[in-house]
Amino acid sequence: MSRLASTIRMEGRLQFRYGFVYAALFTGVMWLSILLPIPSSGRPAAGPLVLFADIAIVGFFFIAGSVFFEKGQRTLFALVMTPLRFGEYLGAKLATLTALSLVIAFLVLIPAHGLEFNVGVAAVGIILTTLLFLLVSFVSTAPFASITDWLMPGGLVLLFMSLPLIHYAGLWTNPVFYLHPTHGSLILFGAAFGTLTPSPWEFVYSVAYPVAWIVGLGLVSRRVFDTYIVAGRGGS
Amino acid sequence: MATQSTVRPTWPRITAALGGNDRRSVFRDPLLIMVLASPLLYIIMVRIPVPPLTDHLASGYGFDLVPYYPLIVSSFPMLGTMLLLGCAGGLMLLEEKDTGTLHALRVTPMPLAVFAAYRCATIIVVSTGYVAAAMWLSGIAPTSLLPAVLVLGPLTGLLAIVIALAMAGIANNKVEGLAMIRALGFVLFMTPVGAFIVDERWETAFWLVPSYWPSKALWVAWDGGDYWPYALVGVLYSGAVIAALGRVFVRRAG
Repeated sequence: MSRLASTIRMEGRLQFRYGFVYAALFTGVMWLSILLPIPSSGRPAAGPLVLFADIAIVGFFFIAGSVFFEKGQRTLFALVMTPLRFGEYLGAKLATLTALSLVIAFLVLIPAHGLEFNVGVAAVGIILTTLLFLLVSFVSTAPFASITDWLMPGGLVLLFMSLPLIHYAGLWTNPVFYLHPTHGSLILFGAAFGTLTPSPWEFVYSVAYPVAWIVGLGLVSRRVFDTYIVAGRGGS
Repeated sequence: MATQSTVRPTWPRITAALGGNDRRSVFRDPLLIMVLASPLLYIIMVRIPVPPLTDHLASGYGFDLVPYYPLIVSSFPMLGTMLLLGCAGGLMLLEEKDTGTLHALRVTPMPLAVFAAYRCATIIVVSTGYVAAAMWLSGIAPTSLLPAVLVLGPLTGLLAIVIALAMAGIANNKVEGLAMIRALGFVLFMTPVGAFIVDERWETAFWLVPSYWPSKALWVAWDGGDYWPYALVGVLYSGAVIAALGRVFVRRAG
């Protein structure tokens, strides 16, 4: 088995052990109990909001929690000594947590909406949005010594990442939102449920722009990992 | 055998000792500074978006958001405070369990129960201040709610203690604590939304969830009704849950 595959397997096992998987499944079932009583005409309006405001951010606190835990237990420093590359370490976390969001999303969406939504567009939206939230979370943990220190700044980061909801709700539709990394996510979710009808260039933007952010944040992650974790700044 | 300390732990001494320590750690710990600044978060989440959203929904969709204001205030300023303080408290307790602070406390003249009571009292006082500030700053709660806040604030504090003890008593470490808060927070936060929306006949289904009681008390107080019975049940119920979880925590920490 390749190093990446075995790291992913290890990471997946840890997420079961920490209870992340059960907690995420549980909230998925809870969402169903909220969505199913809503008349089916009202559900498409709820779909994008549930995906954006909850299911895509399942991993936001989990990835931060696991990084702090690994720092606290010093297992991270042991990993740095092994041939495991940073890309494989982060990739395993991103792959498992994105898969978790994707599974929960379809677990909620299919019973609630049947196949009355564009599955492909929704899936692309979930993958891109989840990756953005996970990477932002990972980068934002770097300067903090413990999870308790990060919790509130992390909450503010989450609030910032949710700002495009203002545009989506129609409260303030300024073009400046197109600069925001998660604006495209809401366009994709809206398109998947038919609440928005984006033009072709908006589709291109909604995929290409987040991808550019993901690549950028990936590079930043590498840098902060080297500076704050390997070099040991930012406490243990 | 160790000699019995001659300094008896009286309340003023305990408050002075622990209060001094907490004051020092507040300024050392960015979390606590942020927690103290968090009513600002509710201004951003409620005061700024809610009035334009109300206009937007009314003019664009003919939907009146105003009847949902009690739900918005009970959810964000009140239950939001509960989640924040509860989660912070739970993580602190797990940290104290991890670092052995609680074991260290056992060899001091301070009984563990007194330490716990002090912590609970702090959470109740802080949460009362928060709920009052957050409701006032939300800009949509009527000032006539103020007397009720003096009851709902401490009740919110009790719920925060429920969350903290559930996390610290059941989770083995802070990561498991986070997974727990995801599940527990969802139930405590979302159930009152259901209770607000459904027909009153179905409300009994929500009685089991502790966060139903302060939420219901707030909605009744909002309409100028008699909120005391709901607040009282809330206090007794949270108290019972705290006593049960406290026993679990002490057994597992010991």
